[in-house]
Amino acid sequence: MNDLNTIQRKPTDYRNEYKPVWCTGCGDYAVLKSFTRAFAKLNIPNERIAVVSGIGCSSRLPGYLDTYGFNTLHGRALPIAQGLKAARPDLTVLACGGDGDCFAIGTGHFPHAIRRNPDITYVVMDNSIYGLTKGQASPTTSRAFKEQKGLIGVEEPPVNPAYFAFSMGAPFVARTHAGNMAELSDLIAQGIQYPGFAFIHCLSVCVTYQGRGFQEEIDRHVHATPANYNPGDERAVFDLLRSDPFAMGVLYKKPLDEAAFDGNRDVPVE
Amino acid sequence: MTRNQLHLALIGSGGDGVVASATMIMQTAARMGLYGIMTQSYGPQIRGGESAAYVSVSTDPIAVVGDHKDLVVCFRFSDVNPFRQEVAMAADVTLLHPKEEQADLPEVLKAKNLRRIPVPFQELLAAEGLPEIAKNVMVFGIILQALGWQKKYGEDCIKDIFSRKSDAVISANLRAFDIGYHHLKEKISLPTLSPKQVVKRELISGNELCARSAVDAGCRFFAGYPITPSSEIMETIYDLLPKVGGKLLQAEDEIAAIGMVLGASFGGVPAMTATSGPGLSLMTEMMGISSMTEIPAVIVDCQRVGPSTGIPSRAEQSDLWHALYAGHGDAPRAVLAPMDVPSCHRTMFQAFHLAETYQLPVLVLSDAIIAQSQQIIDNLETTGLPQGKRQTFQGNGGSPYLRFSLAHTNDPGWNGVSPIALPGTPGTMHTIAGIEHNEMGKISSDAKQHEIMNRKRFRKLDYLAEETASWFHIFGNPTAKHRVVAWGSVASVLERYVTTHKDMALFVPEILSPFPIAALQDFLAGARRSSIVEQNFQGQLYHYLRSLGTIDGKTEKICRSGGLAFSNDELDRLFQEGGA
Repeated sequence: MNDLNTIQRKPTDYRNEYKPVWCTGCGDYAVLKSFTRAFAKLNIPNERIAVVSGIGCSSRLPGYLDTYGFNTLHGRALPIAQGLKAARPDLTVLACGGDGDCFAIGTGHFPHAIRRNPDITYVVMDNSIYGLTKGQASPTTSRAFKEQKGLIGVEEPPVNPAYFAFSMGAPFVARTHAGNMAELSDLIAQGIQYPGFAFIHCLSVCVTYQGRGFQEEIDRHVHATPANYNPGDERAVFDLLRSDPFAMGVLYKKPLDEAAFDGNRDVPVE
Repeated sequence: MTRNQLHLALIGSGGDGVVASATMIMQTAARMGLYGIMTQSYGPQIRGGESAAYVSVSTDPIAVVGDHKDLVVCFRFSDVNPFRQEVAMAADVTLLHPKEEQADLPEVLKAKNLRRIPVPFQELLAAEGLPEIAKNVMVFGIILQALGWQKKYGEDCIKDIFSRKSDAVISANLRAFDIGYHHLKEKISLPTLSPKQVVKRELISGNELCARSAVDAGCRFFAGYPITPSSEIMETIYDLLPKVGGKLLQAEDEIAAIGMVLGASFGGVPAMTATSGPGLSLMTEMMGISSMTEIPAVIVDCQRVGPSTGIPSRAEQSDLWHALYAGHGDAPRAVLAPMDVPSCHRTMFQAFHLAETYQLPVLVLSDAIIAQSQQIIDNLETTGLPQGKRQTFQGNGGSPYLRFSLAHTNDPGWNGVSPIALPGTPGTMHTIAGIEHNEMGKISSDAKQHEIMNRKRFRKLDYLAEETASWFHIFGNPTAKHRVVAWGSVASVLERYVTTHKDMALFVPEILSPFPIAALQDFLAGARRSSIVEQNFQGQLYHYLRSLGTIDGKTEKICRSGGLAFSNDELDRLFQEGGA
């Protein structure tokens, strides 16, 4: 075990040899890379990591990692991840999936995972479209886009993921986009280190059904949270989440009593 | 007058303490060395509403309540109506009812030599300044005296029940008991039961035993969502798991419950959930991924009347097809069924043994009667029960780990199981998925690969079936002319029936899938008449056995919807009429 503690693992050490099914230019490549960078940053032994996903393009992600993984059912990553974490608190457990997983078919599990507050990091790759079934609207698709493409459900407003998570009581809420791997890998690492349920909303472009212009659109709008922003001030968090869908970074972070998580986590908090 | 069985009914509504009094009688019987069984009958109300408890006590083990009651305690004649189909009077029944009850005696309570004893329940309590809440204890006293049981046993029972309460509460209850015990001035000549051995036995319900035996069999994780009539499994295991380092999560729904079970099991921890029909419907997709990813799971279904909400508090055997076939795709699984309370012990060991050994989902079909009956049982043996453990990967000298290894396909001794490398094991990282995969776990859309993997997954069932070929019981004379097949709580009723019908034999499978086909064929060979008896509308076991080619059109299908246990009288009639 000694050498395991002294080896410095590289991001590529967390990738297996499988080639992703994703389209060229898909944002999920960057998310995959960010997972490996976060693992390398924390130097977690591969075998201590388990990534549980749902169904969809993004849920293929665990299959490309040289860690343990469970690519489950549509919308059900969270229950399975919670069962695993409860039974095996020694593991670093992450869940991931898409916007359909988290905000359509599996929404019912989300608030309850938040209530239980297990030490799990949940990364939602939100491309605001159903890519795998070829371009239907998802719960986060904007009205404008639906109108432009003539999609079903034009009149329905989109879900605001970070606000939803915050309003349900998620103790750690962050947002970024696949175009900013440095920030994403840092947020994943922070999420893993956070001693509770960490929700990371990651905009990840679908080049096939949204078009390449979408990343440029995101790049134009995204910005950091205001300089004086305090992610521990719930009033400020509420105001920001209601008004600004493009502020990136840690949006809310509740101070948690780490003692409560003794024996339920394996990565030390910085 | 000595007999070996006595049958009681307590009928009332919320607040009468029907179930509490009946439970005290059972606890006292257990202390005296008697055996007994108690079932409850109630409507959909949570509180209030009519409620009945049926108690049979016996000098020998007894698993089914008796049909004809020797003693009935009825708190209001108007409460009797909902239970008219399930209460029958013995010829010389004793009926206790409130003195102030003025209504005409309901038809169902009439009997040839009926002995009516009006009791002033309220006045007795009021005279002693005792609150109405003490009524159940007083009724318990009256019944105990009527049965001719020693006062000491009743007092011990009360002290036990209220052991955590204050002395004042205990003495008030002892006073209420005393009033009841000395109330009847004339001697009621109910038959006396003499225990064969004075020994304190255990009183337990099917659900409680399912939980306890699961933990004994190695279960260390439970997730569930409350549903009648299975909730007591979760409530019981909640107390037991922490003592053995196990964990429990109360899920937000049944999909999450089975998902959590699969997550824990993926982590290497034997896990289970318990539910009833509506919950099982929700779990169906997850059952498929358990089969597909070869992750063990134990699912207990306490069957109730369906479809949809059905009758939540009443038993039926109509989830059989769901258990056997539910879900899309070809999904191997095993299905087990206890037939009474004590057999839940053996069934749970079998369930964990099969799930862990063969890496697949195992369904346990209990039902509302088994689940919620309280039975006095002997000590249960654990030695000799199957206790297989999951085969974990121990390393193979450097070659890459194959989660679904097919290396031994050509070895006729291979049972299809590939050793699992658990998360945390260095060098064997892999991802499993519900999507079709090759032996490495890598996604594959290849039709031939799919066939190969189906063969692997179903190969496990072939070997499992060899092991479980002897998992059945035969009751009665196996060479009798008339041979009957039944399962679950219905089998219990038939077990009792064949003891008094010497021309009949009964076959009870402990495992429904894979069915012990050869054993059933042997059992039926040479029969003059054969019948499948079950409690569902369509004859689910009958059609299942037809589809297996085990029975032909000459075997009778005797079935009706659930909701009410078969009585001996009804079985007489059904066998006389013959089945479809």
